[in-house]
Amino acid sequence: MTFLEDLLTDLPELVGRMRQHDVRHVSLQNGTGALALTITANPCQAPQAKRVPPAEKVEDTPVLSPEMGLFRQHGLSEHQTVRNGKIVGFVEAGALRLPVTATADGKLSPAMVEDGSPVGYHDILFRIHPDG
Amino acid sequence: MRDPRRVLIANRGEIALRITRACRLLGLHSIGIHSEADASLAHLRLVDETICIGPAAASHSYLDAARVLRAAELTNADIIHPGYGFLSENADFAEAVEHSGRILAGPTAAIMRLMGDKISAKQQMRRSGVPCLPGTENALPTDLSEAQTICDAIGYPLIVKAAGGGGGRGMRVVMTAADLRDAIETAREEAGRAFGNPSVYAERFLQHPRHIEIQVLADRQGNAVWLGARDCSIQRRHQKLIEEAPAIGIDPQAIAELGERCAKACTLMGYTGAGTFEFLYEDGAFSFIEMNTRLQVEHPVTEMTTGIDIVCEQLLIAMGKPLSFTQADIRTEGHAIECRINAEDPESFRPAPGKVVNWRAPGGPGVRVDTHLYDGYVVPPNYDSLIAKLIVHGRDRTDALNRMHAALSEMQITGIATTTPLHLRLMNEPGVREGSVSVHYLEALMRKSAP
Repeated sequence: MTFLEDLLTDLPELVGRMRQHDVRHVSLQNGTGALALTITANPCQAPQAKRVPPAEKVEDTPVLSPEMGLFRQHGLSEHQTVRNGKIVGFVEAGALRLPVTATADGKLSPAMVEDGSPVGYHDILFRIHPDG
Repeated sequence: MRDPRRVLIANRGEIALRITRACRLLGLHSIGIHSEADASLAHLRLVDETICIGPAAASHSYLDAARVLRAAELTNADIIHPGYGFLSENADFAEAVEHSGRILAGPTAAIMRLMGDKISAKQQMRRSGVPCLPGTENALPTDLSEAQTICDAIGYPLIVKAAGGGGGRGMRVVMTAADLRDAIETAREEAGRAFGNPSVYAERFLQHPRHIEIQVLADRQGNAVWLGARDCSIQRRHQKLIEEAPAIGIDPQAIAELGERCAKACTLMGYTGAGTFEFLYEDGAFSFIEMNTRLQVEHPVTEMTTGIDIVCEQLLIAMGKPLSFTQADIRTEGHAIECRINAEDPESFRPAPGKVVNWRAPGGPGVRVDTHLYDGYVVPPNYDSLIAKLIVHGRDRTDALNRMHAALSEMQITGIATTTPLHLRLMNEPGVREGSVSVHYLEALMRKSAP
């Protein structure tokens, strides 16, 4: 592997460290190549900072299926803002139609399963991304 | 109805993996169910679909007939394979499966009921010419003096047993006539509490019997075969630890006659699927104790000696196919032994759940391991402690014992306590080397070596 390929492989880690120590510019070189790196001040505007999205996901609250059954949509639009306790779908378990309720305030993800498909006990049906 | 090809595996652990393998071999669509505690079970990576049916507690997952049936509906399963334990011998479940238009890999609910009740099972066996212990034809009358007259006629020692029971509960050994009344009363109370059925019956008590059993297979066309005998005498508290096939030191002709009678009994009652007739053997005589209307933990020793894949045959029978062989085609070869590896303290037998840090399977000629273990697997505390079955096949019993010893010493399970050290020790015990021990052998040995 060349010096440049090595560096590119390690780029996510390098960027992470730069952010950690608030370093905006880096330039590196050896006999075979050179790299100059400038990163933006705001991590939210930096799509190349791969570490950020997983961190956001951790904050998402999963909405679990209350039972094994058939999932039914509740006609909510994608990314609709919901409040904790709001009914976001249903699970039909035999003769029962059980409500699936939001477990936090925030933006509701699209349903993870299709309308009318089987879901298991405590399967994740939605995620709620916190407001703001 | 379309061809039944979708199999729901209503079990967990090693047996769920065993059934999955059979499904894959036959090209059937397999559906794995699991509790919330079992999402990382090994067979779930191999099945075609999975569904979580409930929380960790078995009563709300694997033992909950309504949930298992709902899973079968949601996944469009045609066949339900119950494995062993859980719902495998539950006649109400079998009936519900039948009513839902699905097929249970096993006998009908009516047969399960017939054989599940010890009294009606014994009556059926007597009718079919299968040998039984001298004992009561029916439940003992509630009137104690009437019961006393009947029991005096059977003779002592005798054993009072729960009609609806098993596993040693609702059982009392009566050595003399004077102890009878107390024994009946306590057995009734225990049976009522444990099985919801206080009926008890009495039969002659054998002092030093061996546990010998006959494996059968019966199809829906009325064909039935027996696949040889197993000796499962090494037990602790009615739980088998080591099983082997064939049963040594018994006239093969006597076993063949018994096997024929068992196969005939299957045909007579209309039995379908795999099953096991269990007997006590003492002084050259077999006495029927019960029939297990399901696959058994120890089925691999019969598979090793006959070369027949019992689980595949179960599935083919459930699909309505006739047996592809007759009794004349069945040969048994060599000797097979199975050691049950439990996640238990080898001295106290206390369950030892936890994380398996390292798992190294033994190998070599004639070695088979049926297990759901892998590095990092966490044995949950919610279920049975069986984590692996180590099975060996040798040209004769000595060869098999040597292979078992070598395989046990090669096998590595770190992180949790297992019964492996006990098995290693047993492989060198003179009683085990010689064979033909009674069902009391292991407990007597443990008592002798207790500090």
